Amino acid sequence: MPQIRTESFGEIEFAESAVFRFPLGLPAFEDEREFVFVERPGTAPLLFMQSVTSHTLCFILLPILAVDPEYQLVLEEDQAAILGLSSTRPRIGEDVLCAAIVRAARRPDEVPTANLLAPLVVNFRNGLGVQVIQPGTRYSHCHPLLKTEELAPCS
Amino acid sequence: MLVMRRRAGESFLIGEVEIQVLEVGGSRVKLGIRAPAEMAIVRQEVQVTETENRAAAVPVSRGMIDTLLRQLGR
Repeated sequence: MPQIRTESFGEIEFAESAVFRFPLGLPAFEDEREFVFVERPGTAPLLFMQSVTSHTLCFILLPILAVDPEYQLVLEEDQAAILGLSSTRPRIGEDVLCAAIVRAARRPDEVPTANLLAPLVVNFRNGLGVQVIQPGTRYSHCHPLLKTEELAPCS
Repeated sequence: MLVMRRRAGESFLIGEVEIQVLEVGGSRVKLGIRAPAEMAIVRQEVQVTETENRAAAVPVSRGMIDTLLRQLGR
């Protein structure tokens, strides 16, 4: 079984079939095409998406419906084609995994945020993924994950 | 912000960059851009996502996970 030495989780083993492929990479990480989802006990609902090629690259994710149960995902036709989907409105949790990248707070006066503007969408059937940017929607790239009196402005 | 009205087929210049309105329909506008090859042209939402991805791509430590779970009330 292939192994990777990761910065975040030490040595991890994974099955080749557990690798998700992002044919376009991710914006700012266009060369990163292969990821595995790492589970750790006691961390639900957080998910971790570890790069197979870069041992330091890991993203913290939240299932999009855990952030917004009403979340509407609409794909462009070319995005659906890359994912091998016939519908531009795949069912979250049934056809696709849809998760938001989380940005942890870096300072005490910051709150963690989730990028609802550009969720990661992975087709369960073929393991293909795309980061789907949804301009023209009301979704924020820095949706606050806490309700506090004073939110640090995000940029 | 400068606001200007243009019809399909008309264009305007920003320095040496020419932007032409090619097609207008519904809620969408199709633009053509003529600019020096070395000039990066990127959709605003892609740039936002690039910045956000870079900021989110930090080594994940157990302490960070615990803080995040506590903040999420889990």
